[in-house]
Amino acid sequence: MNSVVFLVVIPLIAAFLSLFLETKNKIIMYLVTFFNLLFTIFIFKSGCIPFNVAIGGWKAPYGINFVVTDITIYFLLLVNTAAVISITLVKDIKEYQFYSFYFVLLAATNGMVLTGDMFNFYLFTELSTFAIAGLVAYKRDRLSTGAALKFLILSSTASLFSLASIGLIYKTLGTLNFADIAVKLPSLNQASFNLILILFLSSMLVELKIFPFNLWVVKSYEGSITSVNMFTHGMLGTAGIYGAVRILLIVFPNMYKTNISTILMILSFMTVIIGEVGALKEKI
Amino acid sequence: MTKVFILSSLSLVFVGLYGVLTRKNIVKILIALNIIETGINMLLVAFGYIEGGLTPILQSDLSIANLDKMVDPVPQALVLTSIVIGLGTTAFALALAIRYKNTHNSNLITATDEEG
Repeated sequence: MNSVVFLVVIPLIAAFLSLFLETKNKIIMYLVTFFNLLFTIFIFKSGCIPFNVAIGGWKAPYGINFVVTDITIYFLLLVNTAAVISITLVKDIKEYQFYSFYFVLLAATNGMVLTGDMFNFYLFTELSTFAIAGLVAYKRDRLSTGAALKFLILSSTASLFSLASIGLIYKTLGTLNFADIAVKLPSLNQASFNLILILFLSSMLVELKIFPFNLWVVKSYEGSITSVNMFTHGMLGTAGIYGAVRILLIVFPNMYKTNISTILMILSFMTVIIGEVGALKEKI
Repeated sequence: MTKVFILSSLSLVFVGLYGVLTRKNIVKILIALNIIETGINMLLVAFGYIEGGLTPILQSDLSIANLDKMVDPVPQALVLTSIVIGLGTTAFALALAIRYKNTHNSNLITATDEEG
């Protein structure tokens, strides 16, 4: 199943092509999104799960690989189904910037779910940040420009923290592969473990819209058009949840009783309460 | 020498973080973001640094004997990629800042008067 790379590559090619195809962009958008969904269903039905694909033939701990496991394929189905549902809300024909950013977002979210390498995960997260900021700013008015700029500043600051944690992982464990990190993790002392986990998780919380980091959400939902809200919630949120699930459960299992699940539970509880109170307080 | 690298890179990170948290001018915030990024890049390079190390290029059979004296090439590749990402972020954010100036008539980012 080397062709699982098509899920990332074909939207990227379409992102470049959308600069030149002016009115045909909408057809290309439907074609690429349905191709992604059908290809995911084909992988799901083909029965060769789990497998991994080494990019460029470099074997797993040294090169970058794509991993498809039982949980990955369900999240892949969720992301692509969310893409199909949300493009039905794009009614009129937009300019080429909209389609280009949408294709980059599709490639980035598929890559975030598929990848098995820490640094590659960081790259796809950054790519999805650009795409979401561009899509939010598409409306070109006062509100959307401010929202996009604030999201871009907050999210790039957070992703620099995750870059620092990736550097710490490479320094302490000597590897960046998810499975290899999980194998070598018992040789890590508790201080490094806590530092890496806090740095990485605080950058993931921005994508997940958890309470202390979710102040960008209100303005970006208010300022952007409806289909962009669906992209932000359905595609980026789902891929972010899978990233957090994989980091917490597979790569960093709860080995030192670091109460990280309690902290996450309290934060999500506060997100629900404060979000509801804020929604009730709105006048309009 | 590695300690000097790590200390200076951490101080760059904290200087940049102070700038991001306290400034209101968008251009100053972006400059502070670039300072953080430079600090993180320096941290990554310092992680692969060896005192008196060689360039990690296998030229002949003789260079294979010196493998343990070579610096680690992986952090340098990571830094190269992250420099490109930082360039993209800065260019995109500056383009947004020009539009922000056109729509708000100001360079300052504020928390309250967003509506209207």
